[in-house]
Amino acid sequence: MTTVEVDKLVKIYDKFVAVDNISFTVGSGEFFGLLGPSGCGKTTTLYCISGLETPTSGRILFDGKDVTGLSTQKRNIGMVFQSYAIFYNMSVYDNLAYPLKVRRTPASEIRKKVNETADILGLKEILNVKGFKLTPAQMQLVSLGRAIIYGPSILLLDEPLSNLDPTFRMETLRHIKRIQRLLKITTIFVTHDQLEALSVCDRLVVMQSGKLMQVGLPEEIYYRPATVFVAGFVGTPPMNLLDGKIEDLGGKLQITGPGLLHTTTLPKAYSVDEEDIIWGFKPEDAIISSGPPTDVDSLAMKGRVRTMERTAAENIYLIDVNGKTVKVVGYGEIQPDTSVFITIPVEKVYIYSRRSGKLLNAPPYLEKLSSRSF
Amino acid sequence: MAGRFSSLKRIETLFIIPIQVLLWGIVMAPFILAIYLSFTNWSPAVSVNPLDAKWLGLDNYVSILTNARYLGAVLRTTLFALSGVAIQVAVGLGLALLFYYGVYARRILSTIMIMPMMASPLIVALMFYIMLFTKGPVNAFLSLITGQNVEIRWLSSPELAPISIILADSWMWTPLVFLITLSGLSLVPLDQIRAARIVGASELRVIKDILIPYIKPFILIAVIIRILESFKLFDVAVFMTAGGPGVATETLSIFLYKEGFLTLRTAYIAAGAVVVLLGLSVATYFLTRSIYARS
Amino acid sequence: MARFWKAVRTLIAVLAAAIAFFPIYWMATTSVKLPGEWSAYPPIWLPTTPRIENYIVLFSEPGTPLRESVLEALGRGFSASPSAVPNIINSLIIAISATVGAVFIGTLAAYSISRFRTGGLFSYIFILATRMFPPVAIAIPLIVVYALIRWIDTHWGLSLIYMAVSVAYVVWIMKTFFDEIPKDIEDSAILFGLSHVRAFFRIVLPIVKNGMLAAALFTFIINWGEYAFALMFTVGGKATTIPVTISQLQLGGGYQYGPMAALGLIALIPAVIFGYIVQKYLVVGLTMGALKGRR
Repeated sequence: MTTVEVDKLVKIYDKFVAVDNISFTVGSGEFFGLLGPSGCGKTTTLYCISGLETPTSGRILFDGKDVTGLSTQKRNIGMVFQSYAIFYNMSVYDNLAYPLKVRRTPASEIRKKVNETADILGLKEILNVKGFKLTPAQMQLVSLGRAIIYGPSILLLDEPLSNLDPTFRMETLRHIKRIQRLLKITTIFVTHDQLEALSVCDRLVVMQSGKLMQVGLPEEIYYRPATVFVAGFVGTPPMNLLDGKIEDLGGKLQITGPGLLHTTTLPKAYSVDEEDIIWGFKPEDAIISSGPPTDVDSLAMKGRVRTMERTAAENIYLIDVNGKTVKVVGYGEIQPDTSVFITIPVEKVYIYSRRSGKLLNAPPYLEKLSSRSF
Repeated sequence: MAGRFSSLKRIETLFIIPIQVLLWGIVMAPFILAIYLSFTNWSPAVSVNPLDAKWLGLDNYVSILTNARYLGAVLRTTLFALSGVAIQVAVGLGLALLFYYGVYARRILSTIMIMPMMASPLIVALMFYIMLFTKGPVNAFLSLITGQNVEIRWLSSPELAPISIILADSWMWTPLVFLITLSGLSLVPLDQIRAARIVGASELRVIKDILIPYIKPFILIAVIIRILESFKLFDVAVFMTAGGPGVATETLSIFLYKEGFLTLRTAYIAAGAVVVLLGLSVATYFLTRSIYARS
Repeated sequence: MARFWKAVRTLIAVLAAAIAFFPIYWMATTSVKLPGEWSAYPPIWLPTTPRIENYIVLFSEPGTPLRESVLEALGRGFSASPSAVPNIINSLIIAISATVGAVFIGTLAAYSISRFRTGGLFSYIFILATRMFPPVAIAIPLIVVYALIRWIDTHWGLSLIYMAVSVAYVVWIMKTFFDEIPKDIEDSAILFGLSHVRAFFRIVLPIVKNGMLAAALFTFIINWGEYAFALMFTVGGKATTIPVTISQLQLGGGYQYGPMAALGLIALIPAVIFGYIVQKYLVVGLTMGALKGRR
């Protein structure tokens, strides 16, 4: 299958910079994600890869060959749209057959391929149903079938799950992942849902305002968010980020900040050049207690519980600390308006530059995790 | 609650009364009278009172249906209507596609392009009349580009006069088809077009498989409007060629007018009008039903 | 590459616009030419010295000094032509009154049909079908009635006919606009204590006023340029309208192209202006019906 390379891609609409110098490579057979909030340029990037948009500058390469000037029709790619975009007046069969008809495939061959594809996707029963009568989930599967039936070397998916009922999303995602593994097709998956992206992608790219924030494996994105933006975007709930200051006291780095009850010394693993920083911790890494913390080596904050969100596995408390809302995962029932203390183990603290937003120090505890080296 | 329903009934009937009075008074009653008269030998030349006329049964109908000139007029009008509409749809659709795919200076161009629609048929007739003189601008232009002396007799030749009429009519109404088709195109979901391109369909296929099926109802409406209106073709043909030369451009309305008003064989004419109306009604009924059936 | 094709499309569109504009241009230039120049060959594409004598003829009475002043340039054949001002006024009076009437009556009917399906589909199609009738068919018996009640050649008489034949389009357009308004709006007004009638005038009508404007302008354009009925009901009389006047200038042996073009241009300008304002709503009104059930 094919590799895709995006080289210094820029796309400007009438003075609005939608994509600002993005470069990344997708390996053959990889399930690659483009993750970011609405308006970050991920769909535009996908459209440039597909040929539906022409880049203002930069190149798109398939297997090393420059396809930037090639028309969409000739790129031999498959695409699934957020709006399904199946042909409503045609039956499921005709939808699936259409790409083959366009390629003048003989009718018997068409029949064979359509049945195969319908089999894989479980569409056998509805082959004769007209497009507009299908449910959204069915439409999306037909769309997927139509996208792969002619054996394209690249599959592009533009937020395929966003318009589906949440109950159908997981199942459709499973179909997609299954097909991808089966066909070993290079896939690029655009979404704004970080949970989706992190759970299915082999590698992904996080974008914001047209710029590339981070590229890497899901674990890297999750455990080592490269910028403040990524840190605040990834994770359910995402990392808590607060202002802070680093002082050098006789070779030891001290961290203080609004909300922190006392200054804490950072372990030797940390080396930070800047003074003004943003520090962060994950909601699941902190501990709530009713009494003041005894451990002076950890960071400590005091706050008042505002509300609680319940998820299936845990409770997320929204705690008001010094005017800022901090989210912490906890167990048990804590009433709103209760005063609580939050303790954060010092080796789980992330340090970001306040000036550039870049990650200055990842928590040292990550080194100890699993045999994976990143 | 009772008060609500009675006020409901009242508004329903109240609002429909004026139009019924108007249409029955001005359109239907005379038409019904015309139907009655078509079975008689009534002629205002003899007596204005309809009751004085003698009952002729179906005589008028028989004689009009065997009148070559009448049949010629019907045929001619049908031809004008159909060929005019064909041109209007072909050109209108083509222009709509052009604008849909995008042109520079779109607003100015489209404003100018729909001007013909706003003129009244008589003005259009006047414009084409002064353009199509044998020694007029159109021939002069043709002479210029062909390098030869072009002296086409647009209005005085029996072969070309009908074409001139059709051209004038089409010039006037193509913008309507253009507008209707363009608005239909704007409603085609973009993603379907994109999907078709992705799977490899060439632009022509996209037009054929996606765009055209979507705009079919719009074109159908335009066609029905145009065919019905074309059957009443009168102003343009009267002004430009007075129905001639001979009967080359004599449309149905012109024939009825000349025979009815100028020779006063009115009952006879009424039969002719009734026949046409019956035909058109049947056609419209089936056409309209097909639109409603589709959606 | 895409820019190249856009340029090509633009070129074709420019060609179409030129074709659309040229007849209007030609009539405009003819209206400012002197008699010698009207049929000049090769044609005078761009008159270097526009003359307004043609217009002055239209706006002056025979025998007045104003008229005399132009006779030298135009020739004495124009000495007796009556002023066209009364005709312009006639057209205005008749078209405006007919439009007001048609819009009023048509809107009421459209509301009734949209909300209550009064008369069912058949009655609705019947109303639309009144546009199908060739003027001559209705005119023959009608003219007898008019003669009896002395309505021939009156403003009111012709206006009434125009109302009847143009009300169908008003109903069509307004019905589609009414269809788009959810019934809840009237229901909540009724909960407030308004009667159905008041709810209509106070609440519903303001919402569709754009549609009404479109219908009004469209109807005006149709009635302003109507020829057949005007010809049959007002020839040579005091209620003669512009289109008839133009055609009379043609018959009045002399082929007065200049003044004809001038009058034509005067007739054209309001129509073009109104048409431009209205075109968007027009297409919406005419084609909404095709969208039911489509995604």
